[in-house]
Amino acid sequence: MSTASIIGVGQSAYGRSLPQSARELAAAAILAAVEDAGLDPAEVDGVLSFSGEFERVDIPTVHKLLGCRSLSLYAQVPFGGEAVAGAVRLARDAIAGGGARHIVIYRSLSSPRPPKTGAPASEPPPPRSSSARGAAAFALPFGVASPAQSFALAADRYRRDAGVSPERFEDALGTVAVTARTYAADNPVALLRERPLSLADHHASRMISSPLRRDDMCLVNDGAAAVVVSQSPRQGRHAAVHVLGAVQNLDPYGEPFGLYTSSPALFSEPSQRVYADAGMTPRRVRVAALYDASTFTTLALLEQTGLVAPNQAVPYILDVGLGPQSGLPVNPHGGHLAEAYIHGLNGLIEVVRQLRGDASTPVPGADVGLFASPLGSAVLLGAAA
Amino acid sequence: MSPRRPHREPSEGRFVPEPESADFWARMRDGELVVQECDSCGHRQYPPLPFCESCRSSALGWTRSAGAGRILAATVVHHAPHPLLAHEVPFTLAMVLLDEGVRMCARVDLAQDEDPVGCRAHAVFPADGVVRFALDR
Repeated sequence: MSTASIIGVGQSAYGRSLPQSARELAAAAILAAVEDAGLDPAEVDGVLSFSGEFERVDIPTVHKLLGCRSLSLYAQVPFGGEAVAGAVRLARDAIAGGGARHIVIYRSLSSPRPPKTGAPASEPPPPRSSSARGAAAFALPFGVASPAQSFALAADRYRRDAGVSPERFEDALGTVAVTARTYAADNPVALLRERPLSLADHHASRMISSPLRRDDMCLVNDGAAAVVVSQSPRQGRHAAVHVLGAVQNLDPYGEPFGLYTSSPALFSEPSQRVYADAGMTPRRVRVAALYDASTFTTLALLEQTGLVAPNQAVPYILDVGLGPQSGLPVNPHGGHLAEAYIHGLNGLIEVVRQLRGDASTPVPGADVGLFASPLGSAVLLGAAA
Repeated sequence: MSPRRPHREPSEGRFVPEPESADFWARMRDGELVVQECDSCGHRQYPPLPFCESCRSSALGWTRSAGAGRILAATVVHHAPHPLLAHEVPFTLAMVLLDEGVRMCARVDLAQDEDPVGCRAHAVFPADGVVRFALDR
């Protein structure tokens, strides 16, 4: 029995170094989501931001934008991509407990901002907290300053544990990148829609931190996105999409940069609690948005979410693939690799669009969709019956 | 002008040290690698914390590491992720499992095209005061 539904999604323009401020981008995305939901902006009574230490648009600004008659729930969910599922979980539980009726979740990115995967930094990242400062002391002096490096170490360990040759591993990572770029060609808002990629292009792209190349890394861009989670499955422009399950997880050794997670493979924590929360199995999933900070995170999440058996992601990607004909399309919007990097929220929006029927590359018959991030946070959504 | 970089303390421009790890850095500057050890249960942990992650005791000390271990994973960093590392790429970063049972991410000095993973390695202490590893021969 679903207690909450996503009834609206919205996004700003996506682009590199857009002229709009973070607040302008956030306003565009939030108003689009509220309109898509068929709500009067003043009806919104909950506002959740996530990745709080990076978000540049504060909740009072959103309160003012919407003119909420009563803002009865507001909160920030910390950290990165795992926070998307945390915000959805918080929204669902708040709705179930009567804390709010219509909750906006938003994320706005605008340069200057902290460095993202693989990105050159123009200045040291701002401190995240005193404890993170302590953990960060054990990164930069040792030569670590980017998530790309910890993904690369995890990828190297994964490859050896899975018994995969470097050549096949590179082909699998490249296939993830090529598939994302192919999907992006049909997505009018994808930043790389006119930049087709071949496997040879991928293999020739600049090495960032071996085995990960430039084309294995997510985009760095400006843009904002928002969703409306609501108590009522009433329809805006589109059918509501039900929150079937949502779980938040935290690996206590996540900082710095996930180097000291509980296993050297980084993605050992199974994220299968979401299926128990929804009362279903991974076999019910028809479309998935996997948090692709890099092609390796997509690969690892296939296993972590139970969609593919342990150590089988490489043969699965090479033999079955993630494309429209694979039976389980992954990131059909192009993902962070080819659409835009909106810290996971654009992946959640893609699952919503797939289930209500307005995606750029529709997956026929998709009625259950998964959004999953590294370290065990995930959301399961279901189409209206 | 000399192409040599000036000596640099590990803390210089790089991080804000926390009280619980001051000894770690001080002893490393003296060429000694230490890991935190719980006085109550003997658990060892890295990076340091103000409590034992195994038994929650706050009675923690330092045990000297032999500086020996095995390399679990490695990556060649070609793209400097931070301006302070711009003149240092390419370099190899490794995850080392120390014989004391903790994992430590640090640079490893290699001959060209050497695959260090699975090899035994030992700590070395360059002038910048931050431990690196070299493969046993």
